[in-house]
Amino acid sequence: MNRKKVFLGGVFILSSAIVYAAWPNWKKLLSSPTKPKTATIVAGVRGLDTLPEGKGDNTSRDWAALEKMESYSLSAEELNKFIQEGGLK
Amino acid sequence: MKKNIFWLFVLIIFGGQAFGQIGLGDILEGGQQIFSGLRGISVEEEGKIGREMAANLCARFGLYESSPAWSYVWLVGKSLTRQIPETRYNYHFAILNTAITNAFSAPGGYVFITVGLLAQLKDEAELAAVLGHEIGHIEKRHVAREMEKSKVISGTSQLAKKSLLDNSNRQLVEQLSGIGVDLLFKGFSRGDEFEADAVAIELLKKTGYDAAGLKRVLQRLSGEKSDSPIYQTMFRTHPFPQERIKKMETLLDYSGGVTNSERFSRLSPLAK
Repeated sequence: MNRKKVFLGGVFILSSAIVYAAWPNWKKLLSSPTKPKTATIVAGVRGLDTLPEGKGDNTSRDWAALEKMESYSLSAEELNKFIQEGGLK
Repeated sequence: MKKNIFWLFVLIIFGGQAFGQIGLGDILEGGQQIFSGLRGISVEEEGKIGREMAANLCARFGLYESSPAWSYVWLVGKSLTRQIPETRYNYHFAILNTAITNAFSAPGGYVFITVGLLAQLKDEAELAAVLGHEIGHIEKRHVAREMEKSKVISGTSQLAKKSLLDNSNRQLVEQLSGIGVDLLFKGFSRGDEFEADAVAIELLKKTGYDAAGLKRVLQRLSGEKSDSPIYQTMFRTHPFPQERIKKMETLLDYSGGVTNSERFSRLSPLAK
């Protein structure tokens, strides 16, 4: 009887220790960027444009578009004219 | 009995080690990571992460490159940022080519509004309010601050050991950029939203716009049915509209300011 109790207690402690030890890994696995997201799955069904996250995933990059954005600029005169005409400060 | 207990301890210790999670070395390293992780992210590093995030947003949605619309958004945005001479960021404004109703910002000065949200606005003060709110997220370093917190939690202390500006740390920059983009789609905290609203209202007042522009946008869009695509996309990432409206009441003095609705209808090709 005593041996049985020790055995069951041991199994309980050991399984608790394993769950405790492995938990950080499970959390990482659950939040992994490679894990397919529901949104990505739905994308194929109802069209990408309706998705709040757009197409692609966190690894997608459009450097050409970004450079276009970074280089987009109007002159200081145009900005001043815009401010003046709009009654801004 | 004693023999059983001895083997039980052996199993627990070796079982834990086998998972590589329990051990004095790990505990000590974790502690070191927590302390070293508190270094923070520099403005230059923010810019590098923000650039990755902005390139990701461009890839996800594409740019709406209509020249008059882009010029208009750029001019309104720059009119606002002129009021922050002490800013550490170089601001860029663009329109994302998507029907979803939203606006985003990435650290370092990247501000985006979607075609969908632009089409929902009624005047220039509302456009300025949306851009001002996104500028608020950047100025208050909301993404960078969240990254600093998550870094402490997950212990990605490589950041403390090497600058992110170092090209060999590219993988970490990408990883942090992923965290940042996830944050944009998940939504900021209540406190961050209030703070960004306060910056927006301050900028509207300083620039000479009607400070109630932001309140009007929130009121109109939050009036949508909660299952409508507009509500779902806008307020999933910009939550707590009613609380925000209530909170911003204290900041509004209704002392005038322009709406420039005529110019908005003329210059924004997306105006209804």
